[in-house]
Amino acid sequence: MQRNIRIFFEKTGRAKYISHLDMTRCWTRTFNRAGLPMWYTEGFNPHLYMTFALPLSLGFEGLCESFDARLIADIPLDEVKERLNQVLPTGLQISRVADQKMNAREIKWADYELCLECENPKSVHEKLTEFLNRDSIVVEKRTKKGVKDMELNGLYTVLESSFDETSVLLKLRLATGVETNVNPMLLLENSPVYAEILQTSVRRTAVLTADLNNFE
Amino acid sequence: MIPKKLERNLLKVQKPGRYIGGEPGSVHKDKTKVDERIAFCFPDMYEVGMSHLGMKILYSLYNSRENFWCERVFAPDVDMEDVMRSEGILLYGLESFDPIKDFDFIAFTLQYEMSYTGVLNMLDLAGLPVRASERKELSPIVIAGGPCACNPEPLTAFVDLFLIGEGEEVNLEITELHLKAKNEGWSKEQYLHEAAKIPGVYVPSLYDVTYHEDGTIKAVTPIYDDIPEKITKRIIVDMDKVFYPDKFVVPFVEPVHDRAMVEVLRGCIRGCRFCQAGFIYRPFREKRAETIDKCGKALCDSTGYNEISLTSLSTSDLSEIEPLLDKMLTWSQERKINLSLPSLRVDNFSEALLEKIAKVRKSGLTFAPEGGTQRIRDVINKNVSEEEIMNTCRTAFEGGYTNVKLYFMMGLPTETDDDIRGIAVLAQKIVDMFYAMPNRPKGKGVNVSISCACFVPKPFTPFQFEPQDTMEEFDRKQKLLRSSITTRKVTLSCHDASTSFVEEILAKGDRRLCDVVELAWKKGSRLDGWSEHLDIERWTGSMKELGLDAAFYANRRRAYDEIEPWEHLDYGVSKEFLIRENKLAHADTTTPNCKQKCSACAANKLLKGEKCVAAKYQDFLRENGKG
Repeated sequence: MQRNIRIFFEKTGRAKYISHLDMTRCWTRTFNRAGLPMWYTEGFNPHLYMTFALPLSLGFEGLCESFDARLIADIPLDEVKERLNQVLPTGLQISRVADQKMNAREIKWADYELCLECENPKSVHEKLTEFLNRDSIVVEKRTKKGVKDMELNGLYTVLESSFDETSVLLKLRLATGVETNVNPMLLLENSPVYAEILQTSVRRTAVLTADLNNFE
Repeated sequence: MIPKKLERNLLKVQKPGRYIGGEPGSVHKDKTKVDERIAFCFPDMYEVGMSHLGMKILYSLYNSRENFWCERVFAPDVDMEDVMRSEGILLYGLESFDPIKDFDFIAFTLQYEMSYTGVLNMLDLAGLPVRASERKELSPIVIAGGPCACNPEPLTAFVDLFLIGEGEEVNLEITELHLKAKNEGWSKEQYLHEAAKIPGVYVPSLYDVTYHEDGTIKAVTPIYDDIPEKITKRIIVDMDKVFYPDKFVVPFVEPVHDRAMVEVLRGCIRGCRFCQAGFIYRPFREKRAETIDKCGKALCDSTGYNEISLTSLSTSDLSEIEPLLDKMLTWSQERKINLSLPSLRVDNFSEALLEKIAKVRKSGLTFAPEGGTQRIRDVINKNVSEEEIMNTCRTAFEGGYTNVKLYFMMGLPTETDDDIRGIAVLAQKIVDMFYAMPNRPKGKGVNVSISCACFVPKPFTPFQFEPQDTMEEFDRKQKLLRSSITTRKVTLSCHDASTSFVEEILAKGDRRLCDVVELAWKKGSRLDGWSEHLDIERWTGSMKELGLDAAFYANRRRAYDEIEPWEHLDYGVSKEFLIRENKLAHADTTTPNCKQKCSACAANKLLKGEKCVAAKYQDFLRENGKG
């Protein structure tokens, strides 16, 4: 018996410092501790099969992260969720275990909440708003193949922006997925206020398809 | 919650996962409800410290007591140290993020000499004076244990109290005493004096050292009548019943050894004359297969590891090794758990054993003949013949392995150039044998990789009297070995001689070296176990500045009747035994292992009347119908 499953989880607090590479080891051990029989790749060095739809950058929190795995026993998905949650470290929590409804290629957008701590939130907010309203933002993007120019206009939407005494708060929707992927830090690092920011907290709050449905 | 100052800086450093704790298996308690807080410090980085079994045992042991809370602390990497110093972040416990200077104990494990300056650096990062005499309060007490505590003299100025031997009992005893001291309002001096009466506790400030004019030691004397002249190490008599954790902290960031570990035995029967561990952990005591199996299974369940290692100095010497592997394989294979046996010996490495460990995953094989010729192997009492080495390699090749790694040493007592060339000759023979095998693994070349270390004579071994080779001599021998290798099938890596030189000075050093350790630290020495951080000049420069002669410590033959800096510590093995063994080494004569014949090393006195290994082995043979 084999069943492809998709595991939706939250990664918050201390757990945001677990790198993507460390996450795969962490999940393998979590399945082992939960005593769940999972499918292992065959070959020289068998490992637990896992595919992440959209790896999260180190230091980011995420509320709707997901990965695929393969169960090799008939266990109700709610029970899978319960058993995993009992043995997960603080900061990792499973919200849902389900069948794989969509293909990861359908992911086109992701929403992010950014909290930018700074000395003068009012002025930072003003400058940032001006920056994000420009008709064209061309940035250098480093990829495996080298550095290339990238036009960010059209690849992001500002959903909300505000500020309080300590911080600027920003909600952004960014192009995401196999073909185009814009990291919120890319936008921020190229903004005129980057040097003024003391600390950036980033949280991914939604992963969406082209017609803005949640990835399932 | 991560403190704000720390949080703001974590993304500026490499692998921040090392500094945040929160791993599965880590223990969190309410600090208002505990009586004693212990910071267990490993004076090296997270990846190294999290591989260390002793820390896992003592962490669980302390935390098994409801009113004690033990946290882990590691040396920060250089980038993190810069951040901590510039931002004013004090060294903290990974579980609570509280500064360890407010704890009751700061406990260091001393695994290797090159971590000594790391101890000072961590005390400084904690915001404490490094010198014990400048820390006046009852808390924190700085304690240290581990193998290097067998000659703790170069650290005596910094550490309040050393624990000699195994810690499962004495660690709790000194903590209990500290709780009493707090409740009754004792001074630090009062506490240390009382603690010094507990067996296995060495409080260096309560012992005076005097010297002869030639710089050797005249006497080590206690300053009170009611503390022992000689401190005898503690051991656990019944290994089968000793505390062992059923949980480990499972790291996020990958440590050097990332697996479950179950300790199968303590001590070693072999008596290899160069090996400090082989003497200071005597007498040999083992666990029963049933206990080990149960323990290993519980650990795999609770940690989720896919690999478990059966840990000891020589795991194939476990009397019940084959039944143990049979038991473990019944559950490990089905769960894709790999069994690993480090420290296998070439002389009892059977085909059946190889088959059992190779069932899950194949990796390379590692052996340690240590010496290139039979003569030098006899000198060091590595009772392994060339035939056994060849047979083992053949078995490995027949089992599909094509990489073998062999460990050797140079600078061994009585060594000649023939012994050095012998290393290359032996490696060549292994290569030749591979190609002469009709059933060798097809389509693959062989690789014999040789790793050659520089010998560091250590306290409590028969070679403690021996001088170390000079750096020039090591250099010459390394060149000789390199030029003796004529095939690409053999790869050679040699250890850095300067590291071994510093190790030797510290290993056999006395109290006068405390100033050197402090000066080397002030010059920037900290993570010296990492070659990229070690600058030998800091050490040699400090020795010179302080007017101490490195050769006096490292390159001098010591007379049998000289009082060694560690002679007020009793590790069970007698000096008479070490002298006997030293003489046998110079006569190229071997000593049988403890199962074959007792060599009267005297460590059996620590067993308080229980039978030692030779007698027990006779019982074992009788019970199994072989006697």
